[in-house]
Amino acid sequence: MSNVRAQYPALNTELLQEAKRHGLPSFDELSLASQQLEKLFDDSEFRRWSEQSLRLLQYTLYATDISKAYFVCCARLISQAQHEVIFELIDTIYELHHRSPLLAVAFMKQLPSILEPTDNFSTAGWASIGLTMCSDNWKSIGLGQLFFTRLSTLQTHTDKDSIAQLANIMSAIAKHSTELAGNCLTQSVSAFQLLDRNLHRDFLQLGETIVQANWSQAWHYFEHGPGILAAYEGQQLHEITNLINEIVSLYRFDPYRVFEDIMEAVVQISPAEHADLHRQAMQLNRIHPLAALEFLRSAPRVRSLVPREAMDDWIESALRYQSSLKSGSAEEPGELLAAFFKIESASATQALAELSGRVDFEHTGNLLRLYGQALAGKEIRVQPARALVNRGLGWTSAQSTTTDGQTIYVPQFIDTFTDAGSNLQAYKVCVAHQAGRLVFGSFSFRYDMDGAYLPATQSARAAKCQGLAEDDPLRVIAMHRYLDLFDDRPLIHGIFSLVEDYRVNCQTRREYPGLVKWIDLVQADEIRVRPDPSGLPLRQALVDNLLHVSLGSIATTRWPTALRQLMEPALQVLAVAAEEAATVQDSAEAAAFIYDIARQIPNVQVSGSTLIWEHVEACPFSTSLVLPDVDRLIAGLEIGSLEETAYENPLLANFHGEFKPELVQTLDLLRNSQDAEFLTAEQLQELLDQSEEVEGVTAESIEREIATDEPVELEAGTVSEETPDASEEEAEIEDLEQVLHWYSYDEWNYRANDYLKGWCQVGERNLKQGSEEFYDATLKKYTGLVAAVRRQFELMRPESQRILKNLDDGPQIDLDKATEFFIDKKAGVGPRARFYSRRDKIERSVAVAFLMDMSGSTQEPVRAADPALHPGTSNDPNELRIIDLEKASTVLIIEALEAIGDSYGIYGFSGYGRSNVSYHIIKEFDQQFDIKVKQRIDSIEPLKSTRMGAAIRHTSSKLAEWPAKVKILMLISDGRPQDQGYGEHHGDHDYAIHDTRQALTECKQQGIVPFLITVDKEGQDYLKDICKDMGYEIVSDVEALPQRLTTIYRHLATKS
Amino acid sequence: MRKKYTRIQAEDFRIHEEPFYLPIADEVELFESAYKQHLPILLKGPTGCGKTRFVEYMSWRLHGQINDHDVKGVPLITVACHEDLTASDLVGRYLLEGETTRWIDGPLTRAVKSGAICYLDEIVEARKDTTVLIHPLADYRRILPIEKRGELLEAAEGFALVISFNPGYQSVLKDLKHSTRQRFVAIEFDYPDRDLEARIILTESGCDASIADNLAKLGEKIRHLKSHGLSEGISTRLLVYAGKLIADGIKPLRACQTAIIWSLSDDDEIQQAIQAVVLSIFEE
Repeated sequence: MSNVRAQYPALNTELLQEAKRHGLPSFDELSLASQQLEKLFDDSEFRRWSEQSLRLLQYTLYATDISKAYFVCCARLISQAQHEVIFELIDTIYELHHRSPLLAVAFMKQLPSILEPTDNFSTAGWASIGLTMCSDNWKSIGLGQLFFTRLSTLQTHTDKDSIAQLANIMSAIAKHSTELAGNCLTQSVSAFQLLDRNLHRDFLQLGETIVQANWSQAWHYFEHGPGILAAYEGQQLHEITNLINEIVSLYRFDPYRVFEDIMEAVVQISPAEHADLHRQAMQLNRIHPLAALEFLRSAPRVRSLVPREAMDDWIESALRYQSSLKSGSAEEPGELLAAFFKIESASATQALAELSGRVDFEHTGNLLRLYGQALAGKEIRVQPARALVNRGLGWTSAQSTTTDGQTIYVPQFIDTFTDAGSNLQAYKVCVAHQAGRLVFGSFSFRYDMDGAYLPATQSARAAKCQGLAEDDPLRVIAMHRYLDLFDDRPLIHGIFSLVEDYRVNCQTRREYPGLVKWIDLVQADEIRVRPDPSGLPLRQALVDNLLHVSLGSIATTRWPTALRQLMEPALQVLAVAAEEAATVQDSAEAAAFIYDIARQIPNVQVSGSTLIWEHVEACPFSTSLVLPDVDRLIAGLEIGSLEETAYENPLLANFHGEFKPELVQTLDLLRNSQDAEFLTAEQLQELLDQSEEVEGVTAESIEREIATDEPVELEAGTVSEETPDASEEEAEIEDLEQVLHWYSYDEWNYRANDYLKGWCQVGERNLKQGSEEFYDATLKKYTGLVAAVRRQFELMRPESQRILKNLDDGPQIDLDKATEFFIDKKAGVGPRARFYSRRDKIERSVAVAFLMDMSGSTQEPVRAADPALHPGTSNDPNELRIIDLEKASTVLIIEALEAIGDSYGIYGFSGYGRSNVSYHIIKEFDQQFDIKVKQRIDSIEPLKSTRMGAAIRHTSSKLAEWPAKVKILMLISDGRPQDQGYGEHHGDHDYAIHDTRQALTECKQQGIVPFLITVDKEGQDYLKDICKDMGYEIVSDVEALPQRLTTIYRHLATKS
Repeated sequence: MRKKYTRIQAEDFRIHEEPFYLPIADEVELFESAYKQHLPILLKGPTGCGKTRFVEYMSWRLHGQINDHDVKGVPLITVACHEDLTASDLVGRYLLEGETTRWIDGPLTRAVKSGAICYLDEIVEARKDTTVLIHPLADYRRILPIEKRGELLEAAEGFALVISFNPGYQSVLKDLKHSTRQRFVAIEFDYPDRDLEARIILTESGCDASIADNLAKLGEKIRHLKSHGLSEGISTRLLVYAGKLIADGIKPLRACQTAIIWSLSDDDEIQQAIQAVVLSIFEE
């Protein structure tokens, strides 16, 4: 020890001198380190350290930060690490310094905090982790520096292996963006804090997968991932991570999307159910990861429809479906299951419907439409309420029922009851009530007309109040004029709605005894959710009690016993609505009477007072109505000091829904008025401003409604929830050609081996009219061909056979006729011997639909051609496009068909996406060939994509309706079917091909002969898949198309 | 005791009991007036709305219009037309009898001779060359040429030609030729209104009044579906059938299913919709 001490001053001096020589400013660090080290080092160790230190000082020269940090670091390390660590450190410092002095400083600052006594992890080990993310550029050095700065914090929250893995991820990100890596690194600290230690490895594992696939998603993952993952248990997360990894490696899906989808789905489900959900997903994962993924994705939707306990049944039904198809399907079980869980196929929808009690308009729309039609009698539509809300006419509730006088609107779905049967009945109750409003005349109120029981008092009232001026044009709207008689419009409107709905309800019950049971159930449910009237201010309580009575629930009424005399006359007059012959006029009078009582009742909160509230007694209708002395009765209560609150009408029963007689009468008048100007925009606006029924509705929107009163109607399928969105370009086209109708068609998903119900929306429109010059020019150009084709067609023999009887001669004898003839001969009367018959082909009954591909690709030039020979072609006179030949073919075929007299339709199709398949009519079957058709041919232009399936289905539905014995569908195209979303992913051609094939098969099943003609030379590849046993031809010489088309048709029509 | 069959010559067939018929409008007066003045009559109307019953009723009612007062009513000869109906089928033909032949009158000839009402039901179903046969009978001449016998028959007093057709489901191909239709006075029929129909159902089927009301109501609602999936409204006849089944103890829903829903349409959706209406009207 003494030896050491004897040496020490010399060494120390030498060090200090050396330091001085280098002008080292920080004596403190050095002396502090020396003091520390001398206590624990032996002489040789100290000497060795001194030498290292001096070498470092000399090496770093003026980079004093390093030596300073080194001495501080050594002083701290000596007490906690093995001595050898300090000697090893120097090499690490040199290495780090070599990359950047800043790195070395940052490292040394943190090192003492991260090294633990028992730690066998070397300093070099830590440094090398940091160095993994440092490349040659200065930005990455900054990242490394940041890493070392955060190292001790990181180490507090996670283990070394995780830190090493994190560094790997950061270095992967840093290859693209060091800034992003830095942010993620910082963020990772809070991630580790949030997540349990046993989740860290999986968190990072997933992060690595995501970064490898798409580094730019890293920030989202580090920012949002931990919060979502925190809900998981270790084992679960491990399994989910494996699931994602597996899917990514199998299908190359974007892992972040997969992660996000799963997590989004999981967070929508109550945490209490997570364990079950996970178990179910893993059960599917054992069959196929894709099935598990799709199951999780759709889980929230399914869960919103079925109870928790039914989730296992849901999986069960998927497995049953899969096993039922296993033998017959070429698809992998995983893909089948996945397709099922997407809930797009009919089987899945049906299975879900069976498990869920909820009834959706989507599936019952057609039934409700027919039901409403039967009940209402007049032309009526039934649509989901959302369609009305979107029109901005003042109807606001998308989940209740109502009518605008022309259409009955019902909720998108009903799940009031647990079983589907009852919910369907509830739908029927909604439709029946709205049909009742129409049939029982809720909107046909007439001003000052007596009811069946109550005489009109409107004139008398008008004499007392101001009412509408004699010359006010709004007087024509009877309901407006009526409501205007009352000071408190909201109050009279509320009461009138209540009484009238009660009347309609009673009428409906009488008319449809079978529905009564269901109306009762729906009413009971309605009452269940209503507040206790005794909690309401007095005037509101009166009206609310009447509503309870109108919903058949006397038991739930509550009214102060002391005010019974107020309630009785109100109930007496309300009962008029239940009388069989009562009309809307009676409702209006009853409402006015109740108003007179209610208006005088202060709307004060008396629930806390000593009043006794009891339920009311039912009162039969009586014509001897006497207004009670409201003031006297109220005065007796001593509630004068209480403050009045603003009156609010009770919410009408949901199955009655919004009631807007004033608006409906206005709309009706506007629709039916011959005089377009009978109400000016200002007057209309005035009415709307005064009306209780609308808020924020402008005269403009009403006028627009009247002007465009052609509602969107879907025929083959259901009402689409959203109107197809169109791009700007599409909108431009629509300006010119208004969509006539929307149709909805199924699409075939071959993976699910099932139809996607109502998947495609086909918008049908007339093609705009161009010039007829193209037609005439084409005729001129193909003069020879036209003549030849006409001749050939005229020669075609009629196909259909009919027996001709009563012939003088023929190949067959009609036995009945012959017998009759011989008897007549015997009797001596002898008409001519016309007893021969012949089978003759005299009737020609052929209908053909030409369906032209108007996709963008038909823009392609055929080849340079003599422009003089190809009139009406593209702007570049040297370019003849495929579409031009399609157009020319059309001209020729029309000439031919007009010669032979077959029925024909010519259509074009294009579009973008499943919700917007555009279908252009050039000529309908029942349309005469005229100048308009010629002009439309000129407008055939390349547009967008090719969703063949939907277009074929629409065409075949047209053909199916046309009465002809032979029906032919000819599709002329230039390439494979393709469209946005026409396949699982870009480049998935199989889906489109299968759907097209299926559509053609459906055609055949309907007795239509399909034939495909393509000018795509590569067509062989896919046409043989699409057509298999159906006819097709590849016209390799595109210019021969017009000629080939007519030839093919001739053969087809003769053969079929 | 079981009813035994009776054999009647076509021209002797008379309606002896007053058939139940409730006039919808002034069709009875119109028919009587036309009959009196020898005008042929065309009855237009949907299937099952009571055209045949009306003719029966009129044949009974016209008792007293002719000289033959001994027997009640005018004889009624009904021919259901079809596309193979030939002129011989209507006028008559020779039949072999041993080595000789015998002429046998067709229904039209019998009617002409006996002064009966000849009712050609669903006339458009007959071929056009058959239809023209009635032209000389259907104007002021009132004669029937019998080509094979070289005879012309002038119609006896009391003869009337009544034809019917349903314009609803006839295609363009099967429309009545103008030269034919413009020889007739046309009486249009439609389904009776709800109250009237309820009375018909009540009387015809023997069911309760409330059942009859409900069936008539059902008829009215179902007819709203015409051209919304149904090409024809429901006939009163079917409603009567349903009433009969119910009167016999069959549950209303079941009776309506068999007599109405399944008869009207094969379309699943329409069937469901009608069933929904049935269930709304009849309590289960």
